Amino acid sequence: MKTTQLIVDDYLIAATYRSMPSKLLKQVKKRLGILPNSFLIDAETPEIIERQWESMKFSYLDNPLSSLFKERLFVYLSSFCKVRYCLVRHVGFLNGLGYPSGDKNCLSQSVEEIVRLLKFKLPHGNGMKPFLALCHALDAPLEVLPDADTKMEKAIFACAAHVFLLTPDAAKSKEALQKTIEASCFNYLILLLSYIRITHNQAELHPEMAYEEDVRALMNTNGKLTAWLLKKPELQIAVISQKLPGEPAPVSKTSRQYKNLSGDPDVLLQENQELRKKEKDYKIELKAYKDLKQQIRLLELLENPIIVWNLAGNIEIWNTGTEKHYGYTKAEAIGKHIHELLMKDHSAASSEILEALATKGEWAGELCHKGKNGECIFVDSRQLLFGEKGHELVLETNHNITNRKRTENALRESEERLKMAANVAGFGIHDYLIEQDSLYWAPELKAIHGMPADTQTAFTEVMNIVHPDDRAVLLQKIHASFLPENNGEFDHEYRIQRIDNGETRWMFNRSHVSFSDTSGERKPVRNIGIVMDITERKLAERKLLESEEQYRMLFNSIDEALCIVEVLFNEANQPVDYRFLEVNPAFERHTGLQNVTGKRMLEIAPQHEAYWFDLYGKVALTGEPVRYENRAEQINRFFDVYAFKVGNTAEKKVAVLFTDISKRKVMEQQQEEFIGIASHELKTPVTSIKAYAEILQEVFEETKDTRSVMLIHKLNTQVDRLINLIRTLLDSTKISEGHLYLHLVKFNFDSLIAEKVEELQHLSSKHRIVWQPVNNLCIIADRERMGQVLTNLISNAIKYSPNCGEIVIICLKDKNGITVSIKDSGIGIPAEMQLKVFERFYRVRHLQVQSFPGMGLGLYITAGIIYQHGGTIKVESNTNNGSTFSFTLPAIDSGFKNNIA
Amino acid sequence: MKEIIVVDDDLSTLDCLRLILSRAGYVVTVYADASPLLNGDFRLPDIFILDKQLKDKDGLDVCRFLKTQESTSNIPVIMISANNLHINSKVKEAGANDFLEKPFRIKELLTMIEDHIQNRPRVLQCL
Repeated sequence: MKTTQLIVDDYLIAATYRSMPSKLLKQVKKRLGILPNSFLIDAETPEIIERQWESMKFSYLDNPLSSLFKERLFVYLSSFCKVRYCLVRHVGFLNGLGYPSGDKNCLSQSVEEIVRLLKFKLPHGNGMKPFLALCHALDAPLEVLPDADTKMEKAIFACAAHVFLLTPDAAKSKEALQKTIEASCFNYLILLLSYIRITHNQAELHPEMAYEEDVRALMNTNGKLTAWLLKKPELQIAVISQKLPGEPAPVSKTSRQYKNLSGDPDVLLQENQELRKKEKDYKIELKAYKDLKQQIRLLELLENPIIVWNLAGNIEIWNTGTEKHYGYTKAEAIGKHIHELLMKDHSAASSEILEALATKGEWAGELCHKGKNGECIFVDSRQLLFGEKGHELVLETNHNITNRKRTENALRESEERLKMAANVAGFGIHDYLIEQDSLYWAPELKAIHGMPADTQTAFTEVMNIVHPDDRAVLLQKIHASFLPENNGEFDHEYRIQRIDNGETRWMFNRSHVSFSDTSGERKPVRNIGIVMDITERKLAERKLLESEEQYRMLFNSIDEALCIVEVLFNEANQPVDYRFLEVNPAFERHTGLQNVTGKRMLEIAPQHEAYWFDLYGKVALTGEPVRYENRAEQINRFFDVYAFKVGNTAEKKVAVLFTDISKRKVMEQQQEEFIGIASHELKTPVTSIKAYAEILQEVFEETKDTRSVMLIHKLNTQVDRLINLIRTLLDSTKISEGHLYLHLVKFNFDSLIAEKVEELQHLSSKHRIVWQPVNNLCIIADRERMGQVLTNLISNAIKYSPNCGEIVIICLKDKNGITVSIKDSGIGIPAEMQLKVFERFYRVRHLQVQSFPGMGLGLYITAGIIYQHGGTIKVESNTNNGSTFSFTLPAIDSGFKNNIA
Repeated sequence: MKEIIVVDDDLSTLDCLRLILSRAGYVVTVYADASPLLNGDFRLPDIFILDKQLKDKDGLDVCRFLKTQESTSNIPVIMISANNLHINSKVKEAGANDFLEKPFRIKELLTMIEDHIQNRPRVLQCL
């Protein structure tokens, strides 16, 4: 007690003197329950103590192996140490003097238990076989270390001892250990062994270290234990005593001799002191060196990557674990600069790490290394500075966290992606803890509800955002999803009213309710899901629905028959058939065809002409609509058919719209018939009138009754006019039915014009007809009909220029034929009427000129005659600026030969 | 004196033609229907004038009949009609010698008759 106290006091004085933090020793005492003498030995060098404490904590006290296991192993291995201090001290810890492995809660062991442990004799060679077999018999490595005093513990202790002592059985034992305990446990075990080795080295350097008072008392009361404690270790540890390369040379034997021959006591004392100091220095140096090298030998075994490098950055140790991790072999790595080899990611600058090592002696953090194959390796790195001043080394242990890092990165990336998607697509996440009534809304979710990001969300409050009309249903649905009998899936569309502007928006909520199943009762716990703004989709849907409805209504209600067909093409892309996709009720009414949807035309009517397929095929391919009139022979109906493409070209869909024009056709026919009959009926009496008038004229001429002759001549003129009107009506019927026949002869066109000019000039003295004949202009045409054309055009020119006088006829001949134009300077024809003047019964109406007599047939017949000759006719006119009608006739007769009756 | 038989269902036309042709110095026999011709109950004329549209008979059929009879096949037939539609080829096919559209000028009719009686060559109109 006194001795210890003395040493402690000395140390405290020394520590105070050297500004040693006495705090540290207090920490040690608090942690271990007692202050071991080993902490007072190197009091002159507080750095060593400090480092010793750090290393003790790291490798032994905080080592996650179970406290009892660690302490029992410490005791067992210490039984092999030449110096008894460690063994005695740790037996003390194990017996409850202080805390085993610095763990207050660890149960201590009885003296008997400890003796039984010490009695365990380490087997060698064949003696190890049963233990090794036991280890190899395991199916899987143990995750939990075995209990005290079991066969398994013995096996582990035996193996650990061989590894620790580097005996010939070490390799086999290491292998067995790796088989027996899980990889991380193994690493921690090696770490502990390396620390025990340090303490043994220290003890061997300080054989003078006294036992603490508490353990002395223990030894005094337990003779049997004391006997075991003081028993010399049986094993000579050959490896450890062997000289290591680079070991400092021992102080020479001569110099170790005390020079007590000198005679001068002072000098002698001084010499002795110097000698002692030298010896001490040597011991310290040797200890440090042994510590280091032996520790390193143990470290070599570790599976975890462990690198030792000096402060110049050069790698000194590169263990097996490191080889595996980075791919570089020892030969490739040792001597290289650590940072260059591994190309550290300078997220933590190497200078920063070095500074931390220099000031605090350690650094910990994450690093990104590059392996030999260029792959990125993330490590959780711990770096410790150790060794003597001037020989400082850095111990770097790297725990590979690449997979975790990758998972983290992937998670972060997917989170970012989700966030981005949420922003772009307008959705957000909600998470509701049901029992706690705690609702989380992601910022994106608040944003789509027009809610400030810092708003606190509560279930009852957010329900107020829901549109009043939709609230009850939504609540009902949510509550239904909470019912234990349901599967917890929740899908619902509803409206909300945005908080910021009151705008109504459509939301879609898809959630999942999870249930807890404690004590057999299923309870909803959590409702997590997404809410998405689907307003645009809803609007589009509604629009589509509306237009669909409108279309449907139109489709079903129109009088026109409408069908949509898909044109079917063969391999050569020739249209060969079509299939009805849709028909409206009017279609069935008009055609009498029932239930055709889905059927092919050739199924319905096998004789259907290929012409229709070609026609619809062309529409489907070109997209150009066609319109035609079609007579359905079998039902005696006429249809106006309009076919147009629908959808895209690939669909080959054609809509066919039929209008039943049978009534119109019948009326047209009746009209033609009526005109035919009427004019025929008129002609018969006119024939008689004409004949009687001619006879009368002859009679009066014979009797020289000049007055009657004059009257009867007037009568004749009017009868001729009547005949002309009847002929005109009949001509128009012939043209409309395509029955105008030409009587072609070769004649002098100039003389025809001359005749007509002369004839018509008589009718009006106000107008002057100007015409210049072309010499020998002979054409082949129907002379009478051409006369009719000229009469019509010239008399029109006269009729529509009521005030002024000149009508110019120009006749041109070129290789293509002849062009005749009749120009007046009359009232002209408004542009919108110019196309219509050639229509049947069309009459130009003018505001300024009240009325012009006529049936509206003249130009219709004129154009009909010209067309029948293969020619063309057109009008150019400006209101009040006259009109020019011009027609052409082809030069050669072949142009209209086909039309000759 | 040359003799002419005229068949037309329109009595005023018949009256006119009788007047005109008598004034021109022909012996005219008029019938309002074709039955005397079909029954052979008539005196052979120098020329026939047939209306195309008879009461219950097509004038062209009558013409065809006359042209098949040995006694009448060489006597010229002039068809008259108020309708000139489709008629040209039919007239020719039925074997008629000429065609005149109503209404016509007296001079036109008389020239046509004289040409046929004198057996002068004529171009069938509108063919």
